[in-house]
Amino acid sequence: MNCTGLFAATLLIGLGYSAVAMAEPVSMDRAEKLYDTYCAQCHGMSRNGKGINTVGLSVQPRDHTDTKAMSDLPDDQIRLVIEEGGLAVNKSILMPAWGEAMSAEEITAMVSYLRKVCKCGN
Amino acid sequence: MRKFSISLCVLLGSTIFLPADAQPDPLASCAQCHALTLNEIPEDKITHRMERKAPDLHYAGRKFNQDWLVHWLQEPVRIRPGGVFFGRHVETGTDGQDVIASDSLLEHPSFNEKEARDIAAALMSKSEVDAGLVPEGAYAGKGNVRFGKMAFVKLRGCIACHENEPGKGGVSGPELYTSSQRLRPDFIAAMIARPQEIEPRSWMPHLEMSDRDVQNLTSYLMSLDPGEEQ
Repeated sequence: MNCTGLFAATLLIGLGYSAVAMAEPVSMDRAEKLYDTYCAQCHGMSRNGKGINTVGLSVQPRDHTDTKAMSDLPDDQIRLVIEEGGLAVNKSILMPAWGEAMSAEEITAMVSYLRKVCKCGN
Repeated sequence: MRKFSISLCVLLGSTIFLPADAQPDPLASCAQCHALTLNEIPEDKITHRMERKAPDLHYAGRKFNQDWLVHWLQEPVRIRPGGVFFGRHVETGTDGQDVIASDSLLEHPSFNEKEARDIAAALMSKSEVDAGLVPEGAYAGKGNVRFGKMAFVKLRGCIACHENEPGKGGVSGPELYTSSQRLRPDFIAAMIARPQEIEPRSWMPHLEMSDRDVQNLTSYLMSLDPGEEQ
């Protein structure tokens, strides 16, 4: 590698490191707290889709402990539903968009947390 | 004798130097549970929302109707069926269904008429939210009630979290069948349109609504009369 290549590689690594450093890492504990705040009212404190708001709902929320059903959902789809709501994936309007309540990093952590809940990590 | 004189002087002195029109702060008791200024709300708003004892009141003057406050403070009734944060009041039944443990919910203290009037007047001076977020005229006053009801019940899913009549609707959010008495219509419209800007980290999601939807929904809520079946 000549000097120019070495400089470019160093710069790229440096920029990459900065980008990672700028994004606040979100822990699983924090994701669990966010779930309790925003998701549990419908998806339940037990994550089983039986939250306090579900009595009388026309469409029942997803059971996040359902390993098989959750395994069929790709991460990108889960992320999209959280960020833009159920309509974004042709599902119920009753699943609201949380893209302004949670940051992109928090939504990424939430996807990982859901994989932990369903025991269906990709 | 000397001791008596000193005590008398201190007593008289404290009376003399106390301003004649000094009044106790009517919000002193409220401050035990409510955040009355933005400064009291910590950076970590998620934890604050989960742990606070009562809703924040730093912009109460832009939110509430004063007449309603005076009445409610004398005869408080529950506004949030699931409590300030539902998560502290949930119990899970044997069938796995979450329900609110009613006996864990706190009661709001009541006040006499003078106290209620003083507190309400003091709360109306609380306006610590960007004026541009709750502008005068946010509600234009001519939405379509029927379309608003359709949006609330079906098209926008508001009923998942809010009751539009007692016992009908979600319980994590404040009931809205008394909102026409409780809330300023401009606040309702603004909160529907930009909830996360008015209350960062609120449970109220931002639903990307058109102004027409916002006006229709506000008109519907303003039409609700808790004394009538909807």
